[in-house]
Amino acid sequence: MPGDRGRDLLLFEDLVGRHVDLVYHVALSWTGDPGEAEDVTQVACIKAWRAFDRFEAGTNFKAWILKILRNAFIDARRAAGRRPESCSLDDLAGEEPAAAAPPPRVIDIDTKEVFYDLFGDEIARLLRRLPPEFEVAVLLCDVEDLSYAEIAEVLEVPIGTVRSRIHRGRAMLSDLLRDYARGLGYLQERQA
Amino acid sequence: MTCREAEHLLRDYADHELEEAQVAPLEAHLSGCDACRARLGTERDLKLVIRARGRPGPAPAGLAAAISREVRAEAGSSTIRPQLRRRRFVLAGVAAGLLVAAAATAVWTALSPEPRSGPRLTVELVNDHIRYLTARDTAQVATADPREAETWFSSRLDFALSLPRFDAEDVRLTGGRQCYVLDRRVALLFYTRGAQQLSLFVMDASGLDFHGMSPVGKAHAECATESYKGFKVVGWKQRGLLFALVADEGQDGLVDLVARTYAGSNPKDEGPR
Repeated sequence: MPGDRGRDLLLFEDLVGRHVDLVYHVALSWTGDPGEAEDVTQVACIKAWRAFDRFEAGTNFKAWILKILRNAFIDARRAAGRRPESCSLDDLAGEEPAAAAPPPRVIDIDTKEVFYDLFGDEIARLLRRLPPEFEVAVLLCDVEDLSYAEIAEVLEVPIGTVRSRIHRGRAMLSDLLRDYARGLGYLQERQA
Repeated sequence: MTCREAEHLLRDYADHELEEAQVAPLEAHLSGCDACRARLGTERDLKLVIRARGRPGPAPAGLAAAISREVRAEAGSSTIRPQLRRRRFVLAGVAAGLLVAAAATAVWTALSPEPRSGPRLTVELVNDHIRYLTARDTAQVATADPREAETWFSSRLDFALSLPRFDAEDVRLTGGRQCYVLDRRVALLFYTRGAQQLSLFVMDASGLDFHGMSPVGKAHAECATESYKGFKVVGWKQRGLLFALVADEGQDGLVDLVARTYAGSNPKDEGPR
């Protein structure tokens, strides 16, 4: 194998090794099926390798491979004669720009220390309960630190839609956290 | 600006996505509004806790290996194995008279029983250095002026970039770009030293554990070196930032260069300009 290609292979494996958890999880969110998620992840990674010489150095590999994953997922659904379910939500009336979305109802707990102590690993579990579009948008923004523009490119939706999904996703998560805290007896309804 | 108007901007502001023209009016409102400041604090806390606790679990065991097998089959070779040799981290400071005698052997955090950011950071830095070396037109800003580079980065990073003014005439800044290391936005500066190319990565040091790095120079900047894939990484921390200089392993005197550059400065001060 030529030296450059061999070096590229090592780099590619390093990059995939770092991001395979994320890629798989996004695939799982979209497919809803662990086996299909593994298949789509593998296909996406092989496609990414074939295109690796076109990967622009210095750009975000994570965003790049997630875009390939998205295409692999859509291809797989088309091949199976199924419309990608995640796309259907784009048509929902609620996908308007964030300016029209209501402000999130945030929980009335004051400090992040309490957030951490109270919710712990529940955050990850509750995040999984969001609809896939919202979960992935919040995950890519808050956990993976992608910009709105990068997320828009990955998901092939307008930035306004990304903004809406992130804000609404956080609001949904806030509601879930509120319910969880209330279930533990930490929150009581405010008296008027 | 009213609280209602501010409310719609707070989330973009917390995400560092607010349009520049809207930042100053919002900040002016925030400075005088406890309620909106509290809303912003809650928004940021929620983001923080999602960031800290929202990461999904690992992919199924064996998936990465299966992908690797497929890719290697595709690449037509199964002979190359990443040789992530156990790295030894040696005392970095060689600047005579500048080393603290007690620091006889320095190690990165990586030598702890559970290697964390050290080796992973080095692998990523070296790989990125190689990619930028081999790619063309990678600089997003071409400049030999550190101040101009700092200005260019000022709206692109979550921290204030303060570049070292290297105390060596043959080290010349040629440009820079934004990139990602350990999933965080990083400033990457390109330098030449004779015919060699050097990459300087600068990032927020928070969350990067560098216990065991040794003081170098009068500034007591913590500093260490590591070699990987034939490249040398000299890392140091200064004023909450992590700097990592990557060059060919054959490049001598890099630690001396760092020590000279920081000689006489206090790490809590501005640093060498």
